[in-house]
Amino acid sequence: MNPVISLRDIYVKKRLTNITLDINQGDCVHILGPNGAGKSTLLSIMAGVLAAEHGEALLLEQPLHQWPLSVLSTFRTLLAQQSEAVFAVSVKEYLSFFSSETVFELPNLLEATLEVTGFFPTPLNRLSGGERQRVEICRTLLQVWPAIKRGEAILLLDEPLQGVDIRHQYALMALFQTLCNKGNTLVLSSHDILLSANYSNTVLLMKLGTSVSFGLPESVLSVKNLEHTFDCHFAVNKRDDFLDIQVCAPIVLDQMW
Amino acid sequence: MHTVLKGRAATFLLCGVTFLLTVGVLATVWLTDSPTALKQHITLQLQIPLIITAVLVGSVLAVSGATLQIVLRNPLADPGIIGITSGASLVAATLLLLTPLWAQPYLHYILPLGCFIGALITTFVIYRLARKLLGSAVAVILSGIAISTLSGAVIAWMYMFSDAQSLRNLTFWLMGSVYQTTWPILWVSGPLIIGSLWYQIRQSAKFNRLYAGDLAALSSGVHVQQLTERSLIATAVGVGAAVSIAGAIAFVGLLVPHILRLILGHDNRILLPASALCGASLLLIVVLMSELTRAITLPVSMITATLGGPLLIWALMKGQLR
Repeated sequence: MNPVISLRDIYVKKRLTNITLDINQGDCVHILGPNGAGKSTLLSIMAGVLAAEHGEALLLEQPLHQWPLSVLSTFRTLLAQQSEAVFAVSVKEYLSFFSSETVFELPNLLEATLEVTGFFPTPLNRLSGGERQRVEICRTLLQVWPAIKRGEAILLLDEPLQGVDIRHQYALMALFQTLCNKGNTLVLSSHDILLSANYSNTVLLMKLGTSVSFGLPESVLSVKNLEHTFDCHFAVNKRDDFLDIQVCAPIVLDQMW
Repeated sequence: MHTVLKGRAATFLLCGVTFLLTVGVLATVWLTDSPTALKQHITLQLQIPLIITAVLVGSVLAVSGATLQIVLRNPLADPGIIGITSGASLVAATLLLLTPLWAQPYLHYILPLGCFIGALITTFVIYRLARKLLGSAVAVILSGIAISTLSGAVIAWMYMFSDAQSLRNLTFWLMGSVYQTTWPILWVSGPLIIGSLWYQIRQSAKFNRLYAGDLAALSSGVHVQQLTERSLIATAVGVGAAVSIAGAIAFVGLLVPHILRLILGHDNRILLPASALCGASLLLIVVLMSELTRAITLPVSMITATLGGPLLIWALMKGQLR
């Protein structure tokens, strides 16, 4: 099977160096790495909203810059990090602007996961950070909903869990797994190693714009790789089907006082 | 949803009533016993251009205000506040004061072109300045205020060195008036305004996507930078043409969209046409009030500010602006 997203030697000045990887249809890829590792930049490149300075980025075997933006927008979607909401647009109106249907209706699956109907009359700029994030994820998925239903969508989400409460975090992970099982391809960045270890089928570890390791969670998330990436000590245990990862010997600041 | 529908109906009704009332009041001229030739002259040469001017200027100012607010992602944006009007006024003032006597008859044609160029240049300068300042929402307003102050200073200096006739002409520009138009000016400015309105209203579905921020809009298929640049040019063309026929009219662009958002919501596919309608009605009300007071032609900015100030404060209280 041909890869959905294929990156060859991607280079962006001060952001990314030599990223080469293939992502297949139905993959659920989680990108992990410290702040400034280049996770957002990489997602922007995959989305085709940022051009690499060197290297080749292919989407369905065709260079990304050759895809017309209007075609791309029907099956590929990007959740960027939150921008400030300036206008008091109501959530319902806001979502309807991104729905492809003439009469806007929120798909049941999205409502069950994100529970945003309660915010419909609320202006966007009155939502809390986590509530806003749920609305933004909803907006991102709505944009390509017909493609998601066909199982042909490519979902690129930059820190979707940011600010979201624990119940909705697990709901989202379950939703993402369901979508991937139907054939959709998902790439997200996250800071929650434990969640990613157990809810992804592929992990990319990044540090300083380079790829440290890319592959199955249990092989990528080794103590050696994690300690190299995050510069702190980890304990990794596998119990039954569950990969337990904890930071041990956390940084102690008492001596510096 | 029902309140929105009611709001829509109310808006249409109000605009319709205003239009009919204005036409009705103006038509009373035919009830007087002046000679028919005079009545015809009044209607054809004075009243019809007056109505067309009010409608065109009001609608383009209101729609441009709405567009600028969305495109610059700043609820405070307004052709007046961000300095487009002042650039156009500066050129108008320069032309009015410095055009040599032999060229005066052609001023009608030079003026719209000049205002248009003035508006375009200030828009460009503001856009560049704002981009340099990292494109923050405040930056646009600040550079607009800087430009306005600068052109205000130049105009003030010109005031010092001009004769009485030029001074009177200039005062009209700075307060705004719909009573200075003639058919020739309308033939030049009208198409520019209509073109600008047409472009802006056609983009309204794309404008809706901009609420989500640049990257999200881009990801949903909108060429954000291209749209921003073209919209800025369209507003500069429209506002420049409006200033050339009616002077610097303050506030319409800020006021109308804000109040309409409270009534109709944020869908630009509805908001932009409604802004055009209500902006036109607002200037028709000015015409109506001038007609009814008879003795003097009221400066437009005076009335828009009188009506607009309290309404805007009301909008502020309702939490439209933060």
